[in-house]
Amino acid sequence: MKHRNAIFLAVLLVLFLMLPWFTSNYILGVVIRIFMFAALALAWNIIGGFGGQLAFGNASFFGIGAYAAAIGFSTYSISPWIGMLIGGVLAVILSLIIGYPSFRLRGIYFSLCTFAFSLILEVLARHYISFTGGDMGISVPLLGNAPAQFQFESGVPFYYIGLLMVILYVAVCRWIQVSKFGYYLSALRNDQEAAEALGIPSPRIKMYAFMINAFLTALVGTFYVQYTLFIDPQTAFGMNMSVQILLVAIAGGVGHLWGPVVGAFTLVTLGEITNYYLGASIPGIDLIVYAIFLIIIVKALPNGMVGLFQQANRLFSRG
Amino acid sequence: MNGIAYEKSDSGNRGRDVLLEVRELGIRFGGLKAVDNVSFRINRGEIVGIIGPNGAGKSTTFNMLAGALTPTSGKVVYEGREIQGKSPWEICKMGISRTFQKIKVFGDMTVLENAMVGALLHTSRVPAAREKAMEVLEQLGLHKVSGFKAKNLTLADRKKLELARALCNDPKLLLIDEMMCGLTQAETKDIMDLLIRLNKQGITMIVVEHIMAVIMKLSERLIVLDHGELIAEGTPEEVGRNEKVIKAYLGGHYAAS
Repeated sequence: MKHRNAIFLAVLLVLFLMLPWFTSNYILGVVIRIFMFAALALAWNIIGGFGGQLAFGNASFFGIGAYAAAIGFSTYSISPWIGMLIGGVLAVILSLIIGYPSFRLRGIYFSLCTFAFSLILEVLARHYISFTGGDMGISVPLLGNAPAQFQFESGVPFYYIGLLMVILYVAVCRWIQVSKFGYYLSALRNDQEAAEALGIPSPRIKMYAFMINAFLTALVGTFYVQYTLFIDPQTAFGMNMSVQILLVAIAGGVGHLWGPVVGAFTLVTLGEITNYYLGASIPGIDLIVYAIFLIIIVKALPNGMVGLFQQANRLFSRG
Repeated sequence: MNGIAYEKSDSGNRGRDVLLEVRELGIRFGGLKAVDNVSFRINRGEIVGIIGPNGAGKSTTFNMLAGALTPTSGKVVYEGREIQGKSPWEICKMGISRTFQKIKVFGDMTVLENAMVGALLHTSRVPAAREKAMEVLEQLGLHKVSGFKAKNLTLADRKKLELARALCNDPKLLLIDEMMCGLTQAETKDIMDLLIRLNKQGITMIVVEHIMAVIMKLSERLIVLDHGELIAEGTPEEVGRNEKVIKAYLGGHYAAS
């Protein structure tokens, strides 16, 4: 069983490494989007899935990562590679500000707090026009091929960076799952009172998970802004982003290692297909069909797509 | 567990050293005094039962010892250190573990993983925790179901698992809250024998229990609470003869006649 999984992953990896050679730019763009959402949901899965803490405003960290790189580069000429780390650190600081008080409370306060901060950041980004460009957003100056400035002429380097990001994030999640930290997060998700009585310092453990989530989410924000060369308050901090991260994680399978990857693949592909076939017919029909599929997935598969695969796998093994 | 196994040899000696001392402990919720001015001592190696009618303050007292509630007055001194108001995890690290009246196993996790969470208190190495957890599960007869999800166990096994998890903490003092309720007589006897065996291995216990037959047999000493106050203390025989206790349990007019 373990052997079979390893072979499967190796084949998958080789396929993904070779994909840019025999595919169109369009497909490559779709896969890069899949990578981005997979990475975002993988990060969320650490606090939301493993730890069971409903972080509802991950757009805050995504936006900070995006703006840190964009402002750093266009205003202060800092390389986005460094801007990415600055964004990560700022996101961690914000996660401390949100988590420190709210993890000492029980109930819904943490979710509310994360949500509130994403709203506040959106308003701030709109208001401080001289700094953020306001609603007009920031267009990152195009340099052509400039690897040192995180810019490339084609999508292929972004594809490989995205792939590397997903692999690294999966590795981080796997490491967490099998470590003491992961066991403690699982225990907290199951029953906080019992976990505390067994010696688990719940505020601190949740805080670590939230900080890692913030850092990893911010890095994707930078990746996004370098890829699209544009960011505005709505895209960065809007509720849309927070919700999409959640949807990907939920559709894939909350708390499962591969859930976010499967979820990103499913939802991004579904979005593309409905848009491609229906987008031009009746305005909005593609989104309606997308939503119907989404509802079916969530209703029919309480454990997400991964749960479906696991069931299929079990049937197979039984023969 | 092994390190303190010898100290049980002088059981029966009332002058043993004190493990836990509760001094004038009290808590009020708004205007209500749930527990008031309660003092008692627990000696190393004892099994002490806390009894009392419904609403007497047993669970509240218990929760203050475990750190789940912060007392509004008084002190809890454990091994010479004041622990009242400390967090549950700090108290756990000092050597006090507990079980819950309402079962709180980690349902999504396997039996082994549940126990491992307890064993990870003293180590960061997961394989070491797994080994330790397996040992404890074997001791409690849960090794055969170690791969099951905890939520799929029988009630008796879930209760045992809670005990196993707490034992993986290597506690010096074990707080057991209403473990027998809902169990059959055979299951009750099974767990009682287990508790006595663990006590012989050197674990001091405080047991809150509703079922009189159980607590009378299990405890060396009883503490009786009523309306948040300590009304009697002594061996099961002494307490059984105590007028105040009979009055509290049966109502005033029985004692008067």
